[in-house]
Amino acid sequence: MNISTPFLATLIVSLFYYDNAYSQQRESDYYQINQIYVPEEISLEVGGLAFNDKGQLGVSTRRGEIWLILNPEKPKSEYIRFAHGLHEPLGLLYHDGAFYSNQRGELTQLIDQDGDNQADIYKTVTKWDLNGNYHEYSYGPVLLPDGQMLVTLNLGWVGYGESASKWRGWMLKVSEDGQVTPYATGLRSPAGFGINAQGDVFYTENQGDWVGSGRMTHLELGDFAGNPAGLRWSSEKGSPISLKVNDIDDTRNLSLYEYQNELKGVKAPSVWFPHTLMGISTSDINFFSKEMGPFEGQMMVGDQGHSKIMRVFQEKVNGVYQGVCFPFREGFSSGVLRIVNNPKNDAIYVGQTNRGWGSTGQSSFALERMSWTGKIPFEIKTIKVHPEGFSLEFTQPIDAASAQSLSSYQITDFTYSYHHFYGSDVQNKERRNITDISLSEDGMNVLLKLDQFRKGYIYEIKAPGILNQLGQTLLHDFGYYTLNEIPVGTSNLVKDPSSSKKAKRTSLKRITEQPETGFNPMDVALEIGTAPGLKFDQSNLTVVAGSSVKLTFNNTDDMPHNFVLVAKNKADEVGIAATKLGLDGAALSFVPEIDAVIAHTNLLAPHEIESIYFTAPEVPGAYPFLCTFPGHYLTMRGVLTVTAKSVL
Amino acid sequence: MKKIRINVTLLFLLILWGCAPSIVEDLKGHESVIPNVLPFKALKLSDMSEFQSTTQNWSMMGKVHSDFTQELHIKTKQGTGILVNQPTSENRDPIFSTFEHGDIELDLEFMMPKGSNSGIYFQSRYEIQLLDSWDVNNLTSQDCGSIYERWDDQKPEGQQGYEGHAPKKNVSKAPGLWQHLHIKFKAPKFDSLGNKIADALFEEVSHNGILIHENITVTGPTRAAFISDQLELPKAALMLQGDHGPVAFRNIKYKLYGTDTLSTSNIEYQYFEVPMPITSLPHFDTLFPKVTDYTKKIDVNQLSQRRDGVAFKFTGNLNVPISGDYLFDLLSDDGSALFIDQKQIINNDGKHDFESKKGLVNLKRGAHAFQINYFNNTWGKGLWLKYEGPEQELRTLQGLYPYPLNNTKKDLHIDPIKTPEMIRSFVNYKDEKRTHVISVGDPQGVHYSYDLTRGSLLKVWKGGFADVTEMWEGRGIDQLLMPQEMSVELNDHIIASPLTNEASPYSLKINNDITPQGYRIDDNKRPIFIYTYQNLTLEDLYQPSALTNGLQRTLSINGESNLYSRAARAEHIEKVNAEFYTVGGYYYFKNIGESQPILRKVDGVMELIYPLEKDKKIVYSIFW
Repeated sequence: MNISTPFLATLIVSLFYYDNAYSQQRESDYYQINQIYVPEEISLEVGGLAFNDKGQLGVSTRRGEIWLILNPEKPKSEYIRFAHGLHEPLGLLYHDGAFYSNQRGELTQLIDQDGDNQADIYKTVTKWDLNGNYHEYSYGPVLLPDGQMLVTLNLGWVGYGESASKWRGWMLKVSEDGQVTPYATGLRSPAGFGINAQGDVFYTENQGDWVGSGRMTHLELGDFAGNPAGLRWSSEKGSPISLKVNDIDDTRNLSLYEYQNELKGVKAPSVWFPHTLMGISTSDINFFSKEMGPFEGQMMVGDQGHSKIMRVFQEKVNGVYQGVCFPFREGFSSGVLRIVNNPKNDAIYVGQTNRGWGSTGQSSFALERMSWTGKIPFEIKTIKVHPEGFSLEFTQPIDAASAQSLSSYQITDFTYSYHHFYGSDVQNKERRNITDISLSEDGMNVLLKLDQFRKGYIYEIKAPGILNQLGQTLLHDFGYYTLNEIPVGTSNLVKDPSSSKKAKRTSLKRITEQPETGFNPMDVALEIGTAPGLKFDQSNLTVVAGSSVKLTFNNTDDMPHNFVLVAKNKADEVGIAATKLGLDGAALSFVPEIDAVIAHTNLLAPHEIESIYFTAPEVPGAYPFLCTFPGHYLTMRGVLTVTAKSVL
Repeated sequence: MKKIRINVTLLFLLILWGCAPSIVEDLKGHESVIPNVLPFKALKLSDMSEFQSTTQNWSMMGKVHSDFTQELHIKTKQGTGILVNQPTSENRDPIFSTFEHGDIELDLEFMMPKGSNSGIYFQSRYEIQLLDSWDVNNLTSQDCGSIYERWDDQKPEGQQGYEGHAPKKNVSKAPGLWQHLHIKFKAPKFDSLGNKIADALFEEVSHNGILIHENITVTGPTRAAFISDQLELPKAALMLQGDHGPVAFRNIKYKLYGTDTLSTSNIEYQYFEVPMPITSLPHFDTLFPKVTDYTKKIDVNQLSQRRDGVAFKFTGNLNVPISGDYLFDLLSDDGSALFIDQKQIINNDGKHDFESKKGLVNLKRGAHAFQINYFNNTWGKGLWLKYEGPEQELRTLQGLYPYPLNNTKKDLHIDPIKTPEMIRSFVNYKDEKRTHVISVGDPQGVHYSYDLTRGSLLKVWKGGFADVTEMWEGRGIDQLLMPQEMSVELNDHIIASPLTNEASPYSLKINNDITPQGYRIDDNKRPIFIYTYQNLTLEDLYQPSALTNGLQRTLSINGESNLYSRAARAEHIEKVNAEFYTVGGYYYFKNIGESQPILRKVDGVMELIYPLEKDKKIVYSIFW
């Protein structure tokens, strides 16, 4: 064999690269995920998780069953069907000898009287009205310190979020004897909620109408969190809210934070999870125990579509909660919906499902256990606001030189619009300048002073250049801090947010008018739509090489999608590139500007239609098409088969 | 335990013609009801004038019932409305309609006494078999609902019968009960020289609400057609068979379809771009159109790629082939309106998702002016106009069906194996979606759906238990559990109602004192539904009835009260023998327990009610 020198050089370089990459940290070095055995005949589409007092894990499923896993910590545990026939119960609680689960139509107490591990009594604690819409999910309950239970009720979906039956879009308190006390509204899709050590209530929200991006809000009695549909019931007996649907005005181009200052009762979130940059469908809230590593007291927040768990640190400034979210652990097998601590608090169980929505993890359901390996990852542990900037705390002492270098950091702030449309583009994005850097003596903290603050803005804080004493970069080098308040002692940093807006990019690969030359309108007109569950309605299209194609993409789904035609074997490359577009993603319709893209539509909102014109590739073969909206590209794809021109 | 069967089928999205009729105010302020479909023509059953003269076995009666335990038993009462056949050895001819039909949509009810046999012959030639096939397991082309076989004497023994089609499944009810048939039949077609160019076709045959045949062609007359030769015709009379046993028919109605269709021509459109938000149709006269042009197709997505803030006005000619009532259905997202001859026929204005509104108008033959206005604020954009008219089937006139036309779904079925299966879901009941329903499948093969809010048995069925595809496939948009088989819907009840005396009307309003508490599971793993009334507890249990292969109910209370429970309600309830009542001819009812039902008539409707008494359980069974 004759090996040429350039080849050897390439080999050596790539080996070096490989080695270097290998020396970098990986999430799995610190937090290990292990799949829990599920018998083949069980569809364990997890809706709720709760341990009982015998250390058995109760699992409620979207098919209405509650399974007891008798010894979940053992390799192959026995499953017993504790209850069945519930209507999509998306929450489970064990309290005082009984399980409680919130079905679509009622909160139910399930009691096993004779101790055979099967419920004998299905007691209606209280009933919820329903209009018969699939989107009317009911979540919870979560136990409050006073023994009452918290539940949330999802809005229906009829092209927008609708509260067609009483208390849809609300968080409610329920006593054990079924007395219902309305607590807060403005909720849209409140799948996750929890109570911190101080007894304060937080819930997570999914991007949608009136909701620019995923977020978490501190709910106090009488709060209105943003989606006005639930205000329909604010005149009902017991309502702590006086706002009415018609009080809400979205024509003034404000952010929710700005609107909070305009209208009493409106509550801006404590943490935003920027859409596609952190996650796409925020789910459960759980808290780190001290047995789970260096983040005791911080929150874990799940993301269904991205199959991951994010980490949240919050602080209270001027009496208002705000904080930062970081990536934490990805790679779960399905969509993360529920997270519970095990009884020993040294592991979490993560309940997952992706039916109807799809997720990065491809299994249709999963139950996984995650534990800490005992090693400390190199992470930004917290970010706290300082009168003149942000203070970053690390889990390990950092290298002084890297800390002092301006190029180690990148800070950008932006906001989202508060309006009835589905989601929001990133608004008013600006780079912030760092005016001063000071490193603490122990090397654990760095204070970054800024040129200005914009209240109500989200701060993307990146520290890609920061190294630890071993010369390693951070495991995750960024976080998003939601700035509601600035501590007393502020300098003159606060400025009025500018209202400059960035126009959407125009792309040469998206031709929406029929070209006047070189296009034969008689050639091919293709139509493609969507099917529920992250699918196109056709997975195979065929055209002749070089033909003029008019393709109409009809997004009949209830979430945004695009259509991107790519070069052979480039689906993954393009899909991954789209997830890395960062804050510019939305403006680019999540289409990366790379050669592999042949033609594409814009990102279409639900029920939007767009036609594009392009010339089919000259080389026959299989050209993948996909939706590059982050989280969709793995499932939502198909193939355009280009056939050879017939030779006459 | 349970068994889940999964098989992959291609489900075609049925394009439904809406559900409930809508009430609108006409110009004079009167409320008028716009029907969901144009009315069928009812066959007049007040005398025999709709039929050709025949033998005396055919007569018009007022009431019919049959004791399901006696062979060929039928008992009649004088009156009109029910066509009855009681053949004797001398009188046993069939009966022919005076009308002749080609393409037809026929809807009727029939009743088969025990062991009886009859048939409906389309064009006197193509037979849908009627037979007492109750509880028959292995269906053949002789069973009820089958497309009867053709016959050729020339063929060898055993092969003479051919092209028979057994129904897809057995959906027959017990003898003596009324059953429903709905049939879409297409007559054979001929060219101008009389050569046949298309065979006769049974496009759809539904028996008791279940589709049992789809698109079955019949190449010639079936066996025992009452014609002298094998001649096929474009039109001929409908025939009912008389020589094989007693049978009764009622509510016979039909629509005849021809080849004429409504059409549009000279469509001119104006396209507008309007500042958002738009919440209703703009005043077009005050706007300047961006485009004015002619088009053949009204396709708002084709005519403008723009989605947000658009509006259209279409005007043109509507060419009416036959004078009569026309029913239009306008589906749009967002708002739209239809005008004919400057008069508004449909107002579907407002900002909304895809939503349909109907309008009924009488049109004379010839050209009319039509106008369609449309706008879209944002998101979903589309317009679809359908119509039905005299001798014209429901079809698209303009626009496009806005959703994907086919969708592959996995059929998900649940069947109980050793112990009962319970499933809570939404359930469709009498044109409405009930939201707090539990369905219980029993391994003995008798199943039911029960409204937990009201304590009301909604429907019962036998055979396969639940089809949960619409709950567990994808998002489960409908969240509907559907019986796998033909089900019998019962009258709406509530578990109990306080009455001052036995004659007081039974209110269907849920008394606030009666509270659903959920259910407990008994030793056989069946749920017992629990309700409280003041300080008393009611318990309601359903289980398969060994006696009748039906369902048995046991209802009890633990103290004295003024509560009654209504068990049955129908136009007429009467005993067919010593033990069994017929409830309106829809199902049979038998009291079993110590507590005796009271048969009463309230406002002209008959009811069976029970007083709720301590230590005296209410026990009865029903079957169908």
